[in-house]
Amino acid sequence: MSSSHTEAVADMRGKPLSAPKGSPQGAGLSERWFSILLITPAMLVILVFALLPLIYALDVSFRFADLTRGGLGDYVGLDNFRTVFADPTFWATCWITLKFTVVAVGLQMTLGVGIAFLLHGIRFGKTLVRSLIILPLATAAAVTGLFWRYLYDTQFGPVNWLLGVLGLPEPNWLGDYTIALWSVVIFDIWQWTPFVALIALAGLQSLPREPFEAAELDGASRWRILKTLTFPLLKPVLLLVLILRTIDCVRLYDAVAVLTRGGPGTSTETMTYYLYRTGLKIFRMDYASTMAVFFLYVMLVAAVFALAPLLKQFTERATEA
Amino acid sequence: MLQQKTSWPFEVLRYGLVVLVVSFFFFPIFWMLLTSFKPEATIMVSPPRFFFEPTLENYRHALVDKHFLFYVKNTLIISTISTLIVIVIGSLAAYSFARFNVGNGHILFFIISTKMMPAIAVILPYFLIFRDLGRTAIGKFMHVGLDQHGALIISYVMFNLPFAIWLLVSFFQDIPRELEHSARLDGLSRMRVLQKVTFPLAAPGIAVTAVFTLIFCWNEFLFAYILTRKLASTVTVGVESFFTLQGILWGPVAAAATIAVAPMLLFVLMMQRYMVRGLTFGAIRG
Amino acid sequence: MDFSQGWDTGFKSVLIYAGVIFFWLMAVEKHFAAQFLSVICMNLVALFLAIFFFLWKRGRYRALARAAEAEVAAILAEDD
Repeated sequence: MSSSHTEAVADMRGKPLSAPKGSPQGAGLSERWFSILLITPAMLVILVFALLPLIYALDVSFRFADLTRGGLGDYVGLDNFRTVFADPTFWATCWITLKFTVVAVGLQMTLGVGIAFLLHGIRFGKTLVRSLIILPLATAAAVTGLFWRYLYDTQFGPVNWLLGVLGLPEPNWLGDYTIALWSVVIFDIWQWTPFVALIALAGLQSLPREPFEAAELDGASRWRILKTLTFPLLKPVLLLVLILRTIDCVRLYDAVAVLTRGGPGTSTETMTYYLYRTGLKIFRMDYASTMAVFFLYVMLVAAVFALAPLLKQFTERATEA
Repeated sequence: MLQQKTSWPFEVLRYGLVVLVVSFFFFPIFWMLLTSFKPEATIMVSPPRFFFEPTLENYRHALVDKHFLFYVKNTLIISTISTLIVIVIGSLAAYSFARFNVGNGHILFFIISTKMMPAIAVILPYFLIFRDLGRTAIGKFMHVGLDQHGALIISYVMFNLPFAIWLLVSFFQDIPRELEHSARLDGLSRMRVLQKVTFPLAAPGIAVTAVFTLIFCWNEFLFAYILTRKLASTVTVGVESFFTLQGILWGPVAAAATIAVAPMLLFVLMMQRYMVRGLTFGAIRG
Repeated sequence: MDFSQGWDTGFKSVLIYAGVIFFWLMAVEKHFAAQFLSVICMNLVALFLAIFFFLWKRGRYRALARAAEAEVAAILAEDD
């Protein structure tokens, strides 16, 4: 709140000046038009292909639209919303998505940061390690996910064989409905922990040395340095990663579509998969659009809370440059 | 960080853990590569075999029998064209945001929040829009109907534009304004300044953004799966076609998967240094 | 308040309106006997909260602007 106060003051101070900052006198207007011209193509694409479909989806969400009975029907007001909110499967999928996101993101963050610390101290082989670790990120989830079906195979898959050799239990990864979701979680962790690790590592490596050297001279213990120095400095980086991963996990689709198809039963059916099934398998476009609208709303609210601070630091960079 | 005066058992433990971690992340890809060269009979066996007689039969089956090269061709066309369009449009917009702060951050917020939009929310309208567009004359001419390249290209441009703009803005912000100012004072028009000063300096950043966009297009699944059927399918969809009614032939699947994944692996290895920057949308320099 | 703040707040007001409607449909409507009564109440509550939020924010922005103005005036007065 105080920052917007100083902004307001700065604003008032700036107003008496006549020329726009950073440009020669008289070129003010053409600069503005130039800047608008530059963003026009991009805005056109986004407006037409993001806004229009969303408005369309919003429209359909208020109508009756069972594609097996012909196209879009009449308006039914909020009835679709009522139906969807009363649908237990809908809430089940929300719950599954929530479970998945919390566990997957939690594990990824912890493991990733742990790995970052691990890698931060090694002296040789760093590039090789980074190159190998980055590979899962470059793969298409839909492609490697298919192959993971083989890895998870109970008879011939190497994973269960390895577990057997180590004397550990050999679960039925994709067939047991109590653990199928965690199998998908493991896949997501495999693919995205390197993401967290690499970024945390970069963050660690860019930390300034002096505070740490000073703390060490003062005789602070390792644990204390971690707690009061390292983590607070890393917080912005980790926050960004947390937000990015959470957004992606909530929108998860590829892994589920390819590993389990929502099964066994509906134990791995995330919101996105249920939406897909409702719209393109059962062809109830109305319910699917309703769910999409609700989904979008939740994401927008999240955006307002999560993106706002990120964006603020962005525009600060832009105006200071 | 600190001058760690750790004893050697800790170091051994540390390197041991590193090996463990790296193996975990590398193993599936390694196994996929391995399987792609295995004769079919040696794949579905227990215990899994590490040593075998390598064969190219799987690749032959995938490329020739299943026409996997066709999918690769489609993916190549779609990904490169999308990336090109995204870079051109995105750079112009990003420059505007970086230098002039158009819309005071609001337009940028709007653009970036479209990135948060789940693809699934727009997939249905897209399906219907492209279905209808493909029936018009212009639609047929520009190949934007369902199961045509244009539809995917447009979808990918739409989906990669926010990310590309965000990344490019951070790269443009790195270029000092004074260079452009002095060029302007030398009498160059705005367009020329862009041409001769800004873009050469931003070239590495633009290259990185291009690679990221390419990777996202190449690896994308949902849109490709829903908007294409036979003619314009990409590799991600193509790999699924190996799941036949006769059961899954894991050898060719592995071969196809390797083909599908290999180009992007190579790109990522080349672009390693910039990964962190790209992955965090330019917020953090790796 | 200026356009930027107004746009921001307007956007959030719309979100609040939609949020109340969603919440109402989920949790409150079942307690109503007649649906059209519920819809009327829902809209009233949603509108009220959304407008209240907007006006409240507007008041705060104006207060901030006034305080800033006063500060600038005080500084200018010092310069004399």
